[in-house]
Amino acid sequence: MTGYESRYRRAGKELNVGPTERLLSVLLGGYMAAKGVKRGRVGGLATALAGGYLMYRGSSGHCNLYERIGVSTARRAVEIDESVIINRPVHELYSYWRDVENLPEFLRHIEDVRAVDDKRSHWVASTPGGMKVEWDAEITGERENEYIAWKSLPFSDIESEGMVEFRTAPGHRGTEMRVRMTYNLPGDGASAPVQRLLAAISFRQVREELRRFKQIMETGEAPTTEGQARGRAVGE
Amino acid sequence: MKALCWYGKKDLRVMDVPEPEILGPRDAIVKVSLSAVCGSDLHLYNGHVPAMERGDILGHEFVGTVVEVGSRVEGFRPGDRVAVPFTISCGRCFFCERELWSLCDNSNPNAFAAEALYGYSPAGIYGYSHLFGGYAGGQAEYARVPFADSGLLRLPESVSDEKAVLLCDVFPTGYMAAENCSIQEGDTVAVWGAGPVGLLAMKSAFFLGAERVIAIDRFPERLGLASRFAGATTLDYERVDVGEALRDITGGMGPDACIDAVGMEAHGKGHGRAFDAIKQKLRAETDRPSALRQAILACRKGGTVSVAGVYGGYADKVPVGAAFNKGITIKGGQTHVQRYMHRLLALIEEGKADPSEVITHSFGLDEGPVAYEVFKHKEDGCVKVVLRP
Ligand SMILES: NC(=O)c1ccc[n+]([C@@H]2O[C@H](COP(=O)([O-])OP(=O)(O)OC[C@H]3O[C@@H](n4cnc5c(N)ncnc54)[C@H](O)[C@@H]3O)[C@@H](O)[C@H]2O)c1
Ligand SMILES: [Zn+2]
Ligand SMILES: [Zn+2]
Repeated sequence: MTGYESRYRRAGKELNVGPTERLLSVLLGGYMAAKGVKRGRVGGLATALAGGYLMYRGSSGHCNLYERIGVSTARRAVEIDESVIINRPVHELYSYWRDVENLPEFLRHIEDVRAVDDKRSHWVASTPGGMKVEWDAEITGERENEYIAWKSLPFSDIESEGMVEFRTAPGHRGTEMRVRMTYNLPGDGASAPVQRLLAAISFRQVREELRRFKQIMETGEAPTTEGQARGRAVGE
Repeated sequence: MKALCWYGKKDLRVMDVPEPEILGPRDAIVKVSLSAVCGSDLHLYNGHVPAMERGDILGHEFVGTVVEVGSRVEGFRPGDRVAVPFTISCGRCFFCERELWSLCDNSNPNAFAAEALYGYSPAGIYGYSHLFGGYAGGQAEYARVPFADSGLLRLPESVSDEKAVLLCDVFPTGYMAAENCSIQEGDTVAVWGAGPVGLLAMKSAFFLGAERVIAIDRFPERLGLASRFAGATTLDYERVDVGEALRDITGGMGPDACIDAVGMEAHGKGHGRAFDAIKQKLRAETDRPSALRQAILACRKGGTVSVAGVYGGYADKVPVGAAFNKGITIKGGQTHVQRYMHRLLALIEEGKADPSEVITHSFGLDEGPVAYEVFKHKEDGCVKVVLRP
């Protein structure tokens, strides 16, 4: 198995939806996407997205839900492995990331990171539903402009470990970054907030966070339409 | 302020909405003096583009005056007269640096949704559904322009709003469609669709050295304009067999390049038409590609099919075997407006081109819903509509 295959597997995208069901998924998904868009703002978008997801599931042959059911109904660990090319020099990205207090700018599930000293930091994550999970982490290894690795300290609510690598991308494309993170439940006495946090973190979410990091580093801002003019109040 | 908002298929309303505000440090606010309605807007109007929401402000072709700029906007100040390219582009990413402006990596806040459909996300576009970012459009009194330094074109006094508004989309789109044909000396270029985009593609094909341009449509006034404005030979596809006629005109060889300036709502004939109409209704096919099919079949061996008409999703019975076995090159995409607008502005200033000749109708913004109906049905010789706030 090549390195890419193993990463692809780790992202959990094996085929687990049969051919007939895939076709139905695409058709139903298309219908829902179209219908959803006709409805109101929130409900409609949700239907449209659900439809889009069905289409994805049908066309890719992979269902996240099935994957979860197949493996286990409660998640005990999350593993993330994502890469992104950013059109900025390595040192700029490295030093932004090394200042851990910058991280909540783009790590949306992290509410706050406070540096305690040069190596140690305190992390606060918020879960869907507004609960908080906190832990302390320390930098366990680093080489300037190459990588930073970190790990949560013992007796945290959650066991978290991560590493980000930087290397100059070929062809003047800037920097290729690879981020690997795992979150684990400590033993079996996980609290409700920790379970919620684990349920919410996915490679998709981390992909969005890295996209946000890229946008901020390349353009100085993350694009938004929040707060723009429209033909009615949100939630009309 | 007043804005023309989408409320559903064939349901547009002029609404009183809050004025736009600066949301990012590179934003500008433009007071719109003229906006235009595009064939692309008709796809939204006719309900063929998913991911529209009630209340979305339409319009991606607009000119006006800068009234406010964000803290990090360089090179533009309140008072500058500008045209706004329809593609929202950061100017700093891999794609913008390579002049692939409509493929900007950083301007679509809903990139995840576009990725689910297309694999990777194109740039954000004003007033063009939430798949392209859900940005409020310019068929309004004011509009917000993100990444203003790469999203504005300064206009000289001598260029009127009517000429400038065609630099936002249509003239660059026609030009790129022709440029994608890699025109060589002696080439014949056939253009499906004699709407504003097709007409400017025809004109541009001559600028780029075509020997002969053939316009294909069914509306007499549009074909008339194709011959008067662009100097094209015309074919009415309801009266002739287009494939046979093109074969005949080109000495049995076929056109060297074929431009599809029609897109996903092509009007079709025969059983293909019923097939597409039913599938589109059932949402089993999003796009009706009859012009594209004809273009691929008619194109000479080794020729180019340049697609300017918009497609959104999936289309059936596209003759991929013909494309493959004739060794055809297919090119297309949303226009990289910022790549062309300066040189086309220069052509206008030098008096070598006047794209405003395609404008046939002008309405007040208040009459927006009527304007769309007239443009949709091509009533009253309508080719291009502008709206005045
Ligand atoms: N690529 C881009 O960036 C870009 C930019 C602007 C517009 N567009 C697209 O270009 C297309 C044309 O835009 P427009 O403003 O000129 O629209 P339009 O509606 O005014 O013109 C379309 C023309 O195509 C003709 N037509 C329909 N079916 C045909 C067929 N089967 N064969 C030949 N002609 C046929 C119609 O009679 C009409 O004259 C649209 O799809 C629009 O979305 C693309
Ligand atoms: Zn347009
Ligand atoms: Zn860009």
